[in-house]
Amino acid sequence: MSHTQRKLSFILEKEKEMKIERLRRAWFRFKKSKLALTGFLLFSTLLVMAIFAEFVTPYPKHAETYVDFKARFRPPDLNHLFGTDHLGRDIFTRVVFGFRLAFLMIGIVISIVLPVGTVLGLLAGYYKGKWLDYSIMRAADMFVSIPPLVLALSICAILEPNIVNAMIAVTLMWWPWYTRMVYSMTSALRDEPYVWAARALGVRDINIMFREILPNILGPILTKATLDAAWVILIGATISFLGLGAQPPTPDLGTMISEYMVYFPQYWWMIIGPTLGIAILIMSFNLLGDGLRDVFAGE
Amino acid sequence: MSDLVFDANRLLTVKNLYVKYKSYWYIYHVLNDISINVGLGEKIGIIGESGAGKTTLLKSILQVLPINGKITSGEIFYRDVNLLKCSKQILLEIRRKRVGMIFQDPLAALNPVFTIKDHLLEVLRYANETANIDKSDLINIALDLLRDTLIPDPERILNSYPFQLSGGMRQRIVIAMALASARELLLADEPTTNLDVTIQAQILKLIGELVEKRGLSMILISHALGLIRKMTERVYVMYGGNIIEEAPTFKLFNEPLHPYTQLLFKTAPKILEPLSSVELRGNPLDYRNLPNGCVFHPRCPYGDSEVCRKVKPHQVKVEKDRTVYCHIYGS
Amino acid sequence: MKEPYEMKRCDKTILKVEHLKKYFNTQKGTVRAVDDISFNVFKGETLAIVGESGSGKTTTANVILGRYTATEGSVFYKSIEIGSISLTMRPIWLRREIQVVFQDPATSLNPKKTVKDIIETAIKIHYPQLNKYERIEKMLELLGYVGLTEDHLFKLPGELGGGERQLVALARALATNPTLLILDEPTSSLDVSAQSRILVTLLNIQKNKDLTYILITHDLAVVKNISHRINVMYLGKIVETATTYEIFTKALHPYTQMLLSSIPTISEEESKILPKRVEPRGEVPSAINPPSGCRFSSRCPFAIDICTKREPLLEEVITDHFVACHLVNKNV
Repeated sequence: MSHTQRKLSFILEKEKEMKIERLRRAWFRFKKSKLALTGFLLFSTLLVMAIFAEFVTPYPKHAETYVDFKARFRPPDLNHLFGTDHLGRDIFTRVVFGFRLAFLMIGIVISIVLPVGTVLGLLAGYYKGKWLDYSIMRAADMFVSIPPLVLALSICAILEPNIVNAMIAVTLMWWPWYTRMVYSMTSALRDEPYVWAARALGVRDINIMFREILPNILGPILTKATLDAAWVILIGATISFLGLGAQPPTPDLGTMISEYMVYFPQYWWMIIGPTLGIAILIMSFNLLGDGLRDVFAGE
Repeated sequence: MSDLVFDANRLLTVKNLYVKYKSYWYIYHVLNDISINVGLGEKIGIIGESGAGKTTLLKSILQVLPINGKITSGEIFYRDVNLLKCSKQILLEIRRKRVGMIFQDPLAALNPVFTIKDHLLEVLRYANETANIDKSDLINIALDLLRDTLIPDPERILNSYPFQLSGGMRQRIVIAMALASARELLLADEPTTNLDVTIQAQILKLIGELVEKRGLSMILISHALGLIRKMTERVYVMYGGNIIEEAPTFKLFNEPLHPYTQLLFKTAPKILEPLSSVELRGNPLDYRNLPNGCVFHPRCPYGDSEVCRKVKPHQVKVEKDRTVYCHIYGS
Repeated sequence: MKEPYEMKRCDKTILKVEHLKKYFNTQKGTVRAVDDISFNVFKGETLAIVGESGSGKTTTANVILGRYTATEGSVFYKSIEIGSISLTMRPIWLRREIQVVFQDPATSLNPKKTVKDIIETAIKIHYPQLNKYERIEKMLELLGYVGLTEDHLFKLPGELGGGERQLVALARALATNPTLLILDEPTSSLDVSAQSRILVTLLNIQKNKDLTYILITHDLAVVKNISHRINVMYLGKIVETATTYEIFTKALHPYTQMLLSSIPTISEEESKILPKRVEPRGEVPSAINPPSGCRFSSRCPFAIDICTKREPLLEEVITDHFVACHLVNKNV
């Protein structure tokens, strides 16, 4: 390699190093907050448990159709951490499988809403004042004007009540909030001098949106996604609770609560399981979201 | 070093002040062993490039440093009160009734959800706490203040919000607020940077007149050398958190001694001379890692000697009223 | 007084502005930011447009750049009318030739992008044939023009000083090999040593690359040092235009004199050169409702009767020195 080529490779190497260094610093900032770290650990633990539910739980079969009348209504003991339910199934196992469903729902909903909502928001904000802006934002307004739960429930009632439709309902109800947030941030940034400088250079609109504006608004988007995840879980659980989401015997946390509710206060331990599960799940997302917010704020 | 006997003519004395800004990763040594003093009715200028610590110095005097800023050692005396050790009450009284500060960024200094009237009344109320003045009288005083700073249509402005006003207006309001509470000392941090040059001239004239009329002392920070020349009697030159030269204004402008001051005057864009191609060599300072010895030596055209690299220059009293911190003039 | 600049008289007109008007419609009325101005810019020169806030100088620059389109009148760049074409509609070659350096270095660079990314964007668009290594070479070349080094490549704008950020913005603008560079208050947010550095850099680059600059500023010391000719604007109109030397030695319009007399001077010699203090009367009028007749009449200390009745036209009073003032013009 010639001398110049060596120098240039060295520069590229240095660039990689710098990027790694920046990530390290971000991680450090994240670690600084004990709460965020707790949230992250909690989140990872729950996620791992959910993914490997079959291997982590004592009675994986209880998550499906299973009945054992002899084992009904057992209070919490060493064999059954949360006790057993009215069909003799281990509640702890079902809660962990419920986590799996919850994560699945969050995963699918976020992976649709985040890109779609963000892109729509970017387009609407960048082409502010043009017909694209109006059509997108008025559509968003339409969805936002209906109370989220009512919207979700109506969709589930119209379509068949099952998990997939519950997810569709939550997606439809959720995307406008993203779009609005991205829209307001984008329209604030679209007239910044560096955006005009990019236009003066001849950068195409799409690239301006994704390479100039998006990196500057990514922080709040991701933070919001994490904090919203908690809401998704709650709404999903509510839908299931009302019987319009996952149907028994699917181990969904909301369904479980509605099923076990009737046995309270006699078999009081039953309802604690799924409730605690939801609470811990939501808390982990909230703490994680707080941590992310601190990371981005630190920049 | 200066004696600790309290000179009745001294208003403000800063002695050996060290201020550091702490972030999680680094410590920024912003002020290193700063000592200045301001006499009664004296007008002082502070010049230096951005980041040299001028604003930090003013903020330390009023104790309004940001959270990560800490005064690690040194003393600040206002008359005979040690500002670093006095009670909160006394500090508040000094801030409200004795000292006024004009901040650099007027948009940041005004609260967007309050009208100008709210701002002015608050300042005036604190400034006139003991005298029981009626609210309507206060409003009149506020209107007078606005008129003094050449703000047109003061009644309308009084009821406006900061965002409704132009930058020049906002700056004039900040100046009005500072003048309301400045009975003894005015701290001005780049008071006219964002103003048009004609308004700037008017405002400077105004500040000059008011300072004279009330017999105020003033500390003026500016990087515009012409301003300093016009408005001050004595100048401190700062670099890298240190004072590197002190002289009466006309002496400094006639014959700057410290190499940095000389470079500053040489490179400033002037009307009469073409741009100097002399450049400040080297890199801007990294306040996390200040150079050993003389803080200016890496960029100084004469800074290659061993003593400059190793030993921090002491104060050299070149004349009765001039000091330089540079090895060239002795140690 | 020494003349720091020779008038670079070049017959090649690169930009021609004719009767340009730009009005903005607001709730309070129509703001006449630019109200019928005409001027030329010659290749290789630096034309300064000087005025205070509300004079219309920034709006003029923005129309040339394409951020706004002209309400009336035309802007001819190399004989092509561009005043009606907004920036996003302009062909790539035109965007390449007219570049800009903005006022506030804090916002003219994307805070999330490193210097390398910022400049690489420019290079990728205009030199798509270069590979990875060649791009870096070009980047180093550009940084070299503005006096920065490879150490600056990986820094974020937040890690640079104001002066350095402006230099990066300049390097970015130079990446396209422009012909005309619009400098919008390039030194206003900088301290004195950074100012000097930028100005020296600008001068060197202009010589090496035969660039034409349109400099928008209110700082007359800056103007004196790098511009060949000056347009003085007030409330949307050009009130005086002449070479730098003429303006500083023989300013004729009262407003120009007022501007010059307000500069805080660094030395006694400077005070002697500049006009004596011209005190304005009254406040700056609004651009929605400009005074009748001469726009400066409400503040001019020398205003006479005709000044409020008829608007003075820009007339050539001395060779190449145009003034719009009844007191100065021959035809009163």
